[in-house]
Amino acid sequence: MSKPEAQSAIRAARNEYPGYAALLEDYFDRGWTDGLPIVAPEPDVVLGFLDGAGLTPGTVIGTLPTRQVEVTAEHIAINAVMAGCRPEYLPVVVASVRALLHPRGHAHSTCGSLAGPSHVVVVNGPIARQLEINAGLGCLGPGWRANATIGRALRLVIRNCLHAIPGELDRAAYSHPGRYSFCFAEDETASGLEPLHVERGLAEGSSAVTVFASWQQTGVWADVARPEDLAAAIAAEICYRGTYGSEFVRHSMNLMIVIPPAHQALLTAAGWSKARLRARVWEQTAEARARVDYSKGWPKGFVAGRVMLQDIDNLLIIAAGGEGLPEARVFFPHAGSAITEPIGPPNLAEDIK
Amino acid sequence: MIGLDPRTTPAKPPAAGLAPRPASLSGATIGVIGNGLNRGNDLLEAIVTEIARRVDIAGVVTITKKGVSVPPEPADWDRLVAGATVAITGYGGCGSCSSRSMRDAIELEAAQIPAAAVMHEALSGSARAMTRLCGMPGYPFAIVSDDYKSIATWADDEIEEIAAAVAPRVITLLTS
Repeated sequence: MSKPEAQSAIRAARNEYPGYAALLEDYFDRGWTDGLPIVAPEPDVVLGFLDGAGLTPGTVIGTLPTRQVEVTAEHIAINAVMAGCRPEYLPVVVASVRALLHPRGHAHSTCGSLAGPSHVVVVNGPIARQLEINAGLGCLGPGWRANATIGRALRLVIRNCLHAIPGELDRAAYSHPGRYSFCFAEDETASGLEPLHVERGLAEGSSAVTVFASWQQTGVWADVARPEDLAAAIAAEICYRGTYGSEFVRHSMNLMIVIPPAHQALLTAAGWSKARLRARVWEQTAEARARVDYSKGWPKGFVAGRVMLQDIDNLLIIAAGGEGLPEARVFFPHAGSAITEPIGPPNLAEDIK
Repeated sequence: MIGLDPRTTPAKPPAAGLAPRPASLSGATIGVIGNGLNRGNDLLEAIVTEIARRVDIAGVVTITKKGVSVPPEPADWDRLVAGATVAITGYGGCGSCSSRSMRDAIELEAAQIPAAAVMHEALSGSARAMTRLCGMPGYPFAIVSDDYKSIATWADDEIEEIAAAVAPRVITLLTS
């Protein structure tokens, strides 16, 4: 496609401004930002993003029928530019949107709920290292362009493309700082543990994102010498707080456990895999799982001591974080499944310069 | 400097306007699309009971969705549309369930079945946003007041009170 043809293929309305300051103020006034300044989504810049990813503007990436929404590559590129992404981040954002809009992700709920869950993006595979998506010290916080802007791009898509405006279709009572951006990578090289996306069926050496709507996140202090004690501490936290259940998602409800280097080392020194840790945690949540009465349908709400998980494989374990703190994190679910999507095309990782 | 609009444009609206209303609910078969939010279905049932106290209805077709924020299952939808002459949707007491229940009502209008969505006052912003998205701004609905908890964890007597207060509005919404 020639440049003029590509320009004309863009369907978004064009607004003309005397300069960046005027554009920025207008985007704020129209409610098109998250409250922070944005990069101007100029047509040439947006086209550059699409070209770099080998995408045509009108390619449909996903739909959300309840909201009358069809999200195209063009929409995602515009919001990725606004978020401050580099062009090479776009395939990660596109895969994240595909995951978000997977029917089991239940986006109308997670992007409209009173609970206001955050949309956690976990990146796996070589692309995470190539794009320098932080998996280590400070990976859940500010300071890393790829983490900050990929997560922000997904949130801007939620706002602008899914019409999730606070007080309107986004009815989060508190919302959450993680709704500015919540993206990190798994630490695959240092931990030696099987990566999340491989555990979920993708090939070793491939790249993928996992998007998970998390209602709450808590820390699990476990300054322990044995993996059994780590598993017990994590299970105790899960049982203490309980989990939300969804009649719609049912058995594919997930829970995410993030383990830091201290706990990764504990596992590998003892010859434990993620699967073994998962099995131990599962065993120790048996009573809280058995406490759930499904005889009158799925119980509603979030109740302490009631764990509504029915498949051991839905406990997701991720290696990430910095040295020095023996504290795991548990990301509790909202009403959607965690969806893992490959980052494509398949040869993309090798193509990135 | 040119800046591109980052928003999606909503697809074609599902309904062109309101379905024709009957003059009264006498002889009507009332469809109920419940979302199962706590005691929300009990409220919808109580509203139907209130209506039945006022007029002779022919019957009720009730379906419960498989989640609070999802469309009805296709077979349930077909059953309801085939049997109901008017319908009530709800209960909109949480964020995404209110907007989805509003969408259910608008899709009923598209199927030529007059509908009344029952929403909590606190969630009316979500409901109104859905009416705009569906090309029906100003589409009216019934409101449960802020005097009652939004998430439908009500006692039996509260359900009766709310139903008595809301039923007249539901009747008005469903009739010409």
